[in-house]
Parts: sequence; C-alpha cells; structure tokens
Amino acid sequence: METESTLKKIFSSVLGISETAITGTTSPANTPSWDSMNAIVLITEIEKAFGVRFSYDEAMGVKTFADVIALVQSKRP
Amino acid sequence: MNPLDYLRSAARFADLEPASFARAVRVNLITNFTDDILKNIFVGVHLQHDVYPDIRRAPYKQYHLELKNPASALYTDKPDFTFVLFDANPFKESAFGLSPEHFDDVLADIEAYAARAGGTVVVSHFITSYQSSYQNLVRENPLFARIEGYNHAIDELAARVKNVKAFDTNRIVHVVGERHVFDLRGLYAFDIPFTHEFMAILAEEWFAYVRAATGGLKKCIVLDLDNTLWGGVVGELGATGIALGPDYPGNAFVGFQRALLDFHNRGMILAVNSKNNPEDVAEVFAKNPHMVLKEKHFADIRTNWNEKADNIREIANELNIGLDSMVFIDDDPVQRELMRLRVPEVTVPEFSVPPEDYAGFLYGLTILHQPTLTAEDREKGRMYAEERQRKTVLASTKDIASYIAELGITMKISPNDRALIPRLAQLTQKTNQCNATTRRYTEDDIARFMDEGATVVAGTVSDKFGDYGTVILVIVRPDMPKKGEATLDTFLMSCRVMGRGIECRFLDHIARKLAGSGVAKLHASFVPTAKNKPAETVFEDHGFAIATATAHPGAKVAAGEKQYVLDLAAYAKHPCPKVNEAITITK
Repeated sequence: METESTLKKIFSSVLGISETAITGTTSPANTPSWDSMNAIVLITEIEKAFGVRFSYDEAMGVKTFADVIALVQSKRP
Repeated sequence: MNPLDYLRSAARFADLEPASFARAVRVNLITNFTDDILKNIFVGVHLQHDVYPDIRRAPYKQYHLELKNPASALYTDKPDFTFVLFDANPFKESAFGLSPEHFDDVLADIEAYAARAGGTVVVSHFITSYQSSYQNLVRENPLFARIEGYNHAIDELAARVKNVKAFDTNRIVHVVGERHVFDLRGLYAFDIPFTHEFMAILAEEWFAYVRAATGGLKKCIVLDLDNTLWGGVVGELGATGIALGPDYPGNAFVGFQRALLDFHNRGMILAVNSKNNPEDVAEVFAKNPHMVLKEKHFADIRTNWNEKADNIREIANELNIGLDSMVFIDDDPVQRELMRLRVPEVTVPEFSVPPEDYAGFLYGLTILHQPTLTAEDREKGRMYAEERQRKTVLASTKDIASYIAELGITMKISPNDRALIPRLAQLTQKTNQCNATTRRYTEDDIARFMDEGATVVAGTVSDKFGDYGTVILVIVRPDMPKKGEATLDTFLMSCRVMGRGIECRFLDHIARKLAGSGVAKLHASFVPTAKNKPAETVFEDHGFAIATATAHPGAKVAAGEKQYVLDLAAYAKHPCPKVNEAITITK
C-alpha cells in the first residue's frame, strides 16, 4: 500500500493528474501526459524515491501503472 | 525546492492563463542536448514565483542552424531573456568537445543573436569536468584546457556586449559535486546529461536574472537573535553566557555573523526582529567581545515582545523598503510559519539547519542573487546604518527645512554619463516607491536612450554623514510631435533619500536647464502601481498642471495614468517655492 501511495504521488506530480484518477490500468494509451519524455522522468524519480535501479528493458517493458507497482515490489527486499 | 515540486507546477501549465500571474516573460532556451525536462523544471520555477513563462526552444540539435536564421521564432518573438547552456563532457563526444572552430562559430552567432534578438542573453559557462583519462593531471587534459578557454571567451563576450551575461555554471558544480550533476544513463540513453536536481538548481539560479529585471531583488535580511545570531537564550544565560566565541558551537555562530557581515559589506541591509528584553540585547552589543556584528551594522533593531509580523512592518516603514524585498531568518519554526501567514510578502526561508550550516545556508540562498554589483551596492549597508545617526539629528532639530540645511546636502548632476549606466539600469529595476512611471530598463535600454538623443540625468547625493550614491534619475525624451516640447519618460528616486527636498531641487534644476535650451513645455505622467504612492503628488507639488490628454497622440495609456504638463516659460519666472536652495548643486 505504501509503495502504491508513493508511486501515485510521483505519477500525479509528473503527469499532472489527480492521485484518485490513477488506477492499475492507467497507461500511456489512456493518459496523454504519459509520453516518452515523462516516462523518463518517472523512471528517474521512482528509482530515487525507492533507492532501486531498473534495467533499460525493465523500464521499457512497463505498460500500465500496475506493472510499475509490480516492478518496484520485485526490486524491494 | 525539489525538482518534483517544479514538475508538478509545470504539469498544469497548459491550463493556466497568463493574465492570472503578476508578470509574463518571453524566454528562449538554447542548448545542445534534450532539454524538455529542463524546460519543464524552468517553467515550474517561474510559476512558483508568480511569473508566467512563454518559453521557446531551438529544435533538438539545431541550435547552430536556428542561431543563423533571422526568421526563426527565437528572433521574431523578441525574447525578454535567453538562456544558453552547451554541454561538452568527458563521457560522450560532442561538437564542442571536438572542435574549437565550432565553438568560435557558435559564439560569434550568439553575439549577433544578442544584438538582433535583444533582451538579456545569459550564456552559461561549460562545465569543466575534473574526470578524465588524465586523472590526477587534470590540467594536462586538452579538453579541460579547451573548455576553460571557452569559458574565458564567454566572459569576454559578456564584458564587451551589454545584454550578454556570463553565468558561472561551475559554481553549482563545485557546491554540489560532479557526481550529483551528471546523469550518465540519461546522457547515453536519452541525451539528457544532467540530474533533475542539478537542473532544478540551474533553473533557480537562472531565474534570478528574471527576478532582478522584474523588480524582485532582495534588499534586507531581518534576523532573529537567540539561537540565530548566537546560541542559547540571552535572557537566561546573560550577555557573556550565550554560545558565541572560540569553541563549538559558539564559533559556528561567529562564522554565521561573519557571513552576515560579508553580505552587509556587499550591500545587504541588516535588521533585527526579536523577542527579547532590549536591555539584554544592548548588553550583548556592549559587553560580549565575540560579537562580529555591531549595532552600527544594523539599519534597524527591534527587540521587544510585540508580534514579529508587526515589527517587520515597522522595519519596512522605517527603512522605506517594500516587504517583498525582505528576507526573514529565524530558527523557530513557529515564528517562521506565523510570518508566512501574516506577512506573506516577506520571504521566509526554511532555516532549520544546525548552527554549523548557518553560513552555508545563507551562501546557498538563491533569492539573494544579484545580476551585478555596483559601487552603490557595496556601500548600501553602511548608508542605511548612517541613516540611523541622521534620524538622531532630526529628533533634536525643530523643523524640516533647517534640518535639511543642517545636513549640508550636495547633489552632483551628471547628464548622459555612460559610466553610470549599470547603476541607472539598476535604479529603474529596483526603485518601486518613488517612481512615477515604474518603467524597468536594462543597461542596453539606457545606452539606447543616450544614443537616440534623450537626456538621461542622474543625481549623486551626499551630506555631512556620508554618501548616498547615485539616487535620482530622469529620462527626458525629446521625440515629441511638437517642437519645443519634451516628456519625462522616467522620474525616480531611491527611497533612502526621500523627505529631504532632493526631488524638488532636482526637478527645479532640470526644468531650468530645459527652459534654457528652448523647451517650452515639459510633459510628465504618473502611472499608479501597488507601491508608488509616495510619488503620487510629486508633479503637482512641483507646479505641474494636470493635462487632459497624453503628449503623444495614440500612445498607450496605462490604467489610472495621470498626465501633467509644466509651462517652462512661466516656470522660469515663478519657480516652485518649495525648492530648498540649501541643497548645493555641483557638476
């Protein structure tokens, strides 16, 4: 839950959408501000917030907000 | 602030209306890397400061083509500011790293651009990276030497061309460290060589140029005492019991006071706003040998049990400066929050660091940046302190006219003196209160006025207590539809010389000179702002008649603008009776 709420804060800030509007199915396809540039900002800010590091393939493999939660959780002890 | 905070503001940018901001500026950004994130962070910095930015960029990797293209929107949209940053790092090849000819070519284009596009052009130094295969032999590295040469050339350009400013990027790099500046994955994967944190600091420091030109400079640091200027509570520990002296943490407070004294010497006004018994504080000044700051360094000292919000308003009144030019430093979070709530105009930094970090905190405070330092700046702190002594004389003298006579004021009149241009531009940028039209001009603008035949007259004032510096300015434009007429484009006076009849003596001198040179009618206008009430009646007071129409048919008239005209032929016979001849005019 904590992971999810931290991620929602980051997504909300970077994408300019409200935290309540973010669900597991939020994706670049249904969120215009989730463009390639903001994808880079998101990766960097998420890595910093959780002290983790994604490989290029992992980062590029993300399709939805749910994928992001799963990816972050897979990196944490 | 955190880069995420700036990005959050920037994400809402598309929904914002320029009209809902205090100011709007047109900004060009010219870089040689992917600068989308830098742009967004820079947008966020502007919005946080209530400025709406209209930012244009050269398309990716096309800076050298755009600079050579006068039809580019970078030129045609007449930027107020241009910020340039090129990166040549030791990790990835770049045109600048490889070719000094490329640099020479681009710098020449920038010079041409500055002349054509106008506005302020801030050219950032290249980062001189200390990382390379030469390792410890940094200076043997040809890339390092080349980049130092580039930065030197940027400095020379800034010295030669008035509207070009050199920005010292390496100051940031020194303070935060290269490892916190470069983002190497960003560089290789996306051609974004910098961390968000570095871009946030860079954007904040760049913004200082925008703030300076829009009248947002800070003039005064207002300080708490207990646990700010010294450790502990003087009311409990006594004048010599407080932590201030050769040992930790007392030496950290000594270091902080030394930093404040340096700011004072650079021109910052210091004032005290604290909840203490005034006797206790007086005793510290009198008896504690470790006080670096003496009473004479403070322009105002308020030690009492009143609300600090009330005190700071009184300090602003006393010193004749705006609340928004003041920075309040207090270790107590409750007092900081109260100040933010009650006097939101005052800037209250989050001063929650241990004493050893006090001085560094001040050094890092971007809001205190100034684009240039004039001779006046260096003297200003002292001049405000001298003002306290003058007030003592006033208290013992009966009427204001004899007080003025007793001060022995001398005013040196300088028409079209190019050496004064930096100071005159600064006066137009900083003067808010006694300013009839509040038109902000750059050094370039002032030079242009002189070139185009306007009369730019400055007055430099001193009295028996010291020098006030160059404090009063008029710009007289001769470009009138009717011959024999002139307009006061600008009339302003620094607030530190208000109430001495100086403006009256100065206007009188200008009026006589103009009459002598064949000008029959002098037009003037007053454009009201939130701050220039003190200048509201200056023209009436000097015998100007209210005019019904502007002197320039079709000229844009601001809301509430009042028009005046002075018949100079009549004035020569019946000059303003309030002119105090005790003020001596010199050349």
